[in-house]
Amino acid sequence: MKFKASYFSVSGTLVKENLRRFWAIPVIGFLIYFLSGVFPILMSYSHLNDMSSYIEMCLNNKQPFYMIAHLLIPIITAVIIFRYLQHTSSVTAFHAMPFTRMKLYNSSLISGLIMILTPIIANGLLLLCIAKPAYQMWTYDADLMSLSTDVSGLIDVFARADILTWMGESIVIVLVIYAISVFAGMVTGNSVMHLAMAFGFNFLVPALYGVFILYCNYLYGFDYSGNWSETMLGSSPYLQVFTHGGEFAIGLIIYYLLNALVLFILSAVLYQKRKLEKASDAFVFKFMVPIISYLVAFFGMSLFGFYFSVLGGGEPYFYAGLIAGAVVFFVLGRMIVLKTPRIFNAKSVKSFAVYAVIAAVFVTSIMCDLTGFEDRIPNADKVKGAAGGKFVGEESGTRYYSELYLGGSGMHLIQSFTYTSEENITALVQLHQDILKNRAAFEVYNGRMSYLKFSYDTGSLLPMQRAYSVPTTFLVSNAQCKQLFEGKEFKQYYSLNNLNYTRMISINFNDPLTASNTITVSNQNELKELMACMEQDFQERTYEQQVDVTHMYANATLNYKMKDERGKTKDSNMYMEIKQSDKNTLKWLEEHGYSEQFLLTADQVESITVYKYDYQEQQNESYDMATMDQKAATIAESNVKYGIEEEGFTITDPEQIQLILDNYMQNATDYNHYYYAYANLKPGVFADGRDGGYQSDETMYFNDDNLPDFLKSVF
Amino acid sequence: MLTVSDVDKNFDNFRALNALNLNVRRGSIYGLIGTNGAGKTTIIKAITGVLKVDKGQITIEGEDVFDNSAIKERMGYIPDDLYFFAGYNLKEMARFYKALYPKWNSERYENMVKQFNLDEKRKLARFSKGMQKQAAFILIMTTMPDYLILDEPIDGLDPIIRKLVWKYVVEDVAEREMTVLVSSHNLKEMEGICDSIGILSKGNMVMERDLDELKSDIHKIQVAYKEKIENPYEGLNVLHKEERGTVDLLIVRNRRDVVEQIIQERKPLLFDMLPLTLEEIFIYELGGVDNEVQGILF
Amino acid sequence: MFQLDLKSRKSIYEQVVDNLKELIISGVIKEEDKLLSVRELSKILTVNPNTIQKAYSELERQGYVYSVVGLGTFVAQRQKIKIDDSMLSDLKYRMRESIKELFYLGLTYEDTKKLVEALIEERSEWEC
Repeated sequence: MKFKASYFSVSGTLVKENLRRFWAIPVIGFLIYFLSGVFPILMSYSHLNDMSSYIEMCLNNKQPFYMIAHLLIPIITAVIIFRYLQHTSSVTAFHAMPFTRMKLYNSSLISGLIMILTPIIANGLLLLCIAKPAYQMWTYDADLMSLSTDVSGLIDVFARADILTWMGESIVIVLVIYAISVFAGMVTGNSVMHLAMAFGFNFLVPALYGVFILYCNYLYGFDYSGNWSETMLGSSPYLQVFTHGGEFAIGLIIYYLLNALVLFILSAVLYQKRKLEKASDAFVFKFMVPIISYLVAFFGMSLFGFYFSVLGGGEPYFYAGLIAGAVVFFVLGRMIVLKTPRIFNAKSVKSFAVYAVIAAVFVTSIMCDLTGFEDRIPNADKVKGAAGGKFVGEESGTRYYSELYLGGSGMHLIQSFTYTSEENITALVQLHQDILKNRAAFEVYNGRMSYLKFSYDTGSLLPMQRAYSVPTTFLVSNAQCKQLFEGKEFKQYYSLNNLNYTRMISINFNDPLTASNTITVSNQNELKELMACMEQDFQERTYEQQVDVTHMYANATLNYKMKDERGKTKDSNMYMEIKQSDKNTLKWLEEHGYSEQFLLTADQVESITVYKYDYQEQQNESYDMATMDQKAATIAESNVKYGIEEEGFTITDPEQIQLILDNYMQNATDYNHYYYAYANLKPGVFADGRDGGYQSDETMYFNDDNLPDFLKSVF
Repeated sequence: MLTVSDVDKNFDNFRALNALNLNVRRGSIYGLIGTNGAGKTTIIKAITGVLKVDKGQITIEGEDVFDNSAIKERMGYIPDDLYFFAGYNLKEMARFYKALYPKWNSERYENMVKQFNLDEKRKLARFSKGMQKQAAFILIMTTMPDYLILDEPIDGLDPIIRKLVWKYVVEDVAEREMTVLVSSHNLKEMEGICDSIGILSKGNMVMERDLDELKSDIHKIQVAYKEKIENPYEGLNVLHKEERGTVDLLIVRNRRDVVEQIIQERKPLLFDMLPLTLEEIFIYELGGVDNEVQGILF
Repeated sequence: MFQLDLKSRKSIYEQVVDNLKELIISGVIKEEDKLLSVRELSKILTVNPNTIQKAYSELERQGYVYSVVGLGTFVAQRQKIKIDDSMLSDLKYRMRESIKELFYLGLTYEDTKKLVEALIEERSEWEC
């Protein structure tokens, strides 16, 4: 094909006429954006700060009406603009008119583009006109979910830059959705199918990924977060917004725009090749028949397979479901595509046979791990960097969020703290190997598990990622984990001196049982000393101390100012635990008189009630119910069901209370067998003015080992 | 000059047009007739550039018609299935066509609207089917086409309007040498207006002739002789013969004078000769020779 | 000018030729009169102009009219009319039929002869 200028010919007449015919669509689009965006802003114009979170939501495309409009308007526009291709009378009339096919295509395409872009641009311009500063007291950062109470860190969410970003992002989104919808129109033959496929194709790639990941979960060690979910969601800008919201990276924008461009060109080619007489058929091109029937069969097969396996529990059900689903949905898909129930012929059987082979290869390669996924361990020499868990036990809070520290970046979905030293990498690989060695035992283990992720950078495009559920007890006593925690790399990276902050504002402390008694340290000198103590404690902490199950000494919240990637100063904070083994910090807090202000002591406690939970005993009880008479059985049954353990044991002796307060755990170590307790506090203990004996905010746990002796006899 | 040469067109596995040849001279009115499903609409859609043919060529004045917007500017097509923009009235459609066709003649538009007595502000969807056809006719004729393609144009129009339509067509043919291709089942009307005929059957062109030549070439005769004669019809191209008592009924493909000469030689008692109507020719050529057909012919 | 009988089996072309000939023969259109142009006649009759053109050509061939480029078609002088063999046999056939019918009606040979001669007499003022 010679490259002619006629490829770009457009009929102004047709564009004008299309706009005349379909002006309602851009008007409706404009109204949706306007009434959900500009209008509310104007209503609160005099007190705009109240609207600041809503404004931020709108401009980050997280506002529901914006998102609905972004999706529906391009799809509906594409369907309506190209409707003429889907009916015999209109396709005849249009192609008898003095247009070349390219002119028709271009004119229709451009009409649609005008229709979808005008509402966004118009609203964007309006927003620019009415833009005035709207300050957020709280910075809602989707990643950190941090809230700041420091008034001096105000952010204007209604700046011109934000509006322009919104316009750009929205335009990219609707362009991609429109391009996909136009493509859908080229391969379908009637408007119903066009609409269905427009929706389908827009979510096809993420949906395929999603289903693929479901299969991959059968592979031991498959990590569904990380690379896979990034790619899956990133393929559609519409979904990308849901996870990231905020700006698209430049590379991503170019990728999306290229996508749209390729689809536009592909659609033009298909339009030229399209047999117009096929209007009103479901699909216009023969190659769509197997594609769509196979896709329907694939999704249906997966649906039945997973549904059956959940119902029945186990692989035989899974396979049965796959086969049933494949047959049923292949038949269904083929009927829809060929628009007739009469598909039971040799051709269909052949087609199904091909599908069956492909599906069988796909399923077996996963179920039998033909690619050697499960057992693959990288060669320690070839690994440049590896991220593993942080081996910090059950520590709550954001202490070990890598992006809070210098050298960290991006989302915490991709772990950015990486081990690079040889011994650490060797340790990680060794740990990985041990896990695989113990796989059989781990897969049937019934107790408490920790989720461990590995990510190896071997120099190839994507890092090798694995994730395993590992018994907590295994990790806690593992030599490699000890080394990885106590090794220099970890301690260096997570040093408090490496925290990304410009100025520490204050540190709050509270007792783990009750958060309402919080004390604040804000004196700069004191903060400096305190930080030094905490740092020293951290550097000296052993792995055993880190994973000790005894409750923390105190919750600490660090409030500080930091500079974000744009260089803007923001408020931020970090939550961490002060452990019982942090002797320097404990000493400092006591010496400066802070401990007594927040620590819960026995004299503040009225009583403590202790209960026992045992899964096995409960099961036994429900067996016994069969021998009880009707009424008694019902009561006992409801007791068991609702966990009403009448056998709680209450303690009031201060010494015993103190013993409990000293030894409890924050979490149970064995879900099937544990003891738990609540502290009933004396009136006036809560600083927030609650009177009366309220229970502590948190629960205390014990297991057989650390349960105080005087209670052992009770249970 | 509109030329269709050796055209094949398949719809999946169905061969709709088979090595089809069709020629329309400039300034003539060509009638395309054929049984239902013979391929008339198919070839018309190919001629108007809507369908792409699988083999062969369709040219107007030597240029290929497909994707040729210059030719389409001079071509007017009224399909069997009409289409107007939703919610539009005649005036709005006219405005669109005016911007699209360079030879749009506003004066003619006004005259035609008046003559056909249509309300140009009324939504076209509300017109009866016949009035919609009239509206389409007005729009197309106002573009002053050099080539007019009509697919079953007059079905559903009352006699007054029909006459008006043909009047305009004939006027343009006379004044501007407009070339017309008409497809219709109304053979009586075709007979009155066309100068050339193409008979289509199963995607093939069975016969394409000047109408007068077509008619002058074939006659039906009733003959009776006093005595039986050996080979009374020797020398005649007898297509069909039937004996009803002493009278013979024949269809012969010969010129009138030839028939006369041969029959008169034998001094018949009874000799009647009639030209066939187009309808009869159609039925005879395409209907096959069987009892029902005979009943129609005689 | 004249009516076409669309129900007739006779082709339009033949009818136009015959009708015009009738008008010329009976003197309604005189020698040297200008006929309507092809275009005009086709519009009035709502007949394919090609058909009219063919009719005019046939009339010219038979010698009833002649055409001048740019000016039109005119009725020719009677002498110019040629005798066409096929036309002649056609007419003979027609006359034969009519005579046959007269016999069929019951006229005797003598009556028929007298009748025919009388008819010819009607046109006695015509000169060949």
